[in-house]
Amino acid sequence: MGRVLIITLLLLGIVGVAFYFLKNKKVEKKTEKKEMSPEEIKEKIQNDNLKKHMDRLLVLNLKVRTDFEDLKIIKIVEETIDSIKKITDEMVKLENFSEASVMFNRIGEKYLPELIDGYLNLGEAKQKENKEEFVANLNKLSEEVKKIENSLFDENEKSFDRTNILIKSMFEDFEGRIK
Amino acid sequence: MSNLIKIETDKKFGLIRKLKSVPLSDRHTLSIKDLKKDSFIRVFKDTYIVDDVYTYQDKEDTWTELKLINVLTLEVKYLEIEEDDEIELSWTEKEISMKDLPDVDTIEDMADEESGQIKYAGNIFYYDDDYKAKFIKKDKKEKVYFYDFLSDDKKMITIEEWGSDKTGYSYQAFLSFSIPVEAVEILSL
Repeated sequence: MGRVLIITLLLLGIVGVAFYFLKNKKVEKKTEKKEMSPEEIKEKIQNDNLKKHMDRLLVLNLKVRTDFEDLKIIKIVEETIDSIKKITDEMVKLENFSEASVMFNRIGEKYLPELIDGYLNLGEAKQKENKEEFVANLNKLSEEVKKIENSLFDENEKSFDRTNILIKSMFEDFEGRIK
Repeated sequence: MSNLIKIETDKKFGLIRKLKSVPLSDRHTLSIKDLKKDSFIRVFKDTYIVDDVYTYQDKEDTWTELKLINVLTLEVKYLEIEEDDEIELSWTEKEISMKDLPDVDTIEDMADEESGQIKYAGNIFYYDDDYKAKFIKKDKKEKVYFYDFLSDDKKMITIEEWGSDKTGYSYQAFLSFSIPVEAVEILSL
């Protein structure tokens, strides 16, 4: 009886140890698969943020194509979107603009959508009254973005500083106007 | 930007910029029967471009199938348009794996007996109909056989059999449901 008990306990012990090692091996394998290098993590975060930003621009472009009849307005908005895309892409490559790029992203995520929504929410009659002002604001925003684009792609070594200043000044200007 | 994101984003902008929408006040004048390649529609708040148009013909009926691409996600959907006494629309929710359905022999037996049921995603789908048709795409014609199964909540599983004894058979299955004509907003033709 005593021997049977000892043998049973030994067998249980062996099974327990084997189970423990097997479980740890599975956990190790899972951990191995999940580990990414810091570079890969950084790239993934950048790509995820970029994708979200681009998705917002796509939604905005679709809205303009669906809700506007005036081809001139569609043209200004799309040229602005194209500039924003170009600048965003360049900023990510250069990695020099972490603070400025956060501010700059607000153009595509806040200023431009709010300008467009504000106009569309007016209703047909009021839209006719306010069209000139709306187009003027759109042109102003488009010009500011163009200045930033020209500054960023300027070969002059001082263009980074100038670009930062332009973005900050535009940010303060628009943040004050659109609340 | 990663290459894949850039390629997808450029494709989406390309599709969106094909849209020249008709003024809101005129959209009610557009007919679903006039939809063609590069038309734009909005269904369930999503905007689609018509990528291709197919025709099916059996002994009695002819119906149209539109292959649609969601301009924001590039997801593919299908819309079937059939005209009986009135226009009937069928929206394909998704393609189903044949592995999730009974084997083909069982389905054929159900068709022979004109009865039987399929269990899928917690629902029962009852044998409804089976029939052959011609699939017409531009100049190409192909034979196809359909097996339809309908659930109590009016969803349809359609199994499509393609090929012949000579070439061998391939199968596709789709889950779809009817939608009213009013669910489709035509943005441009």
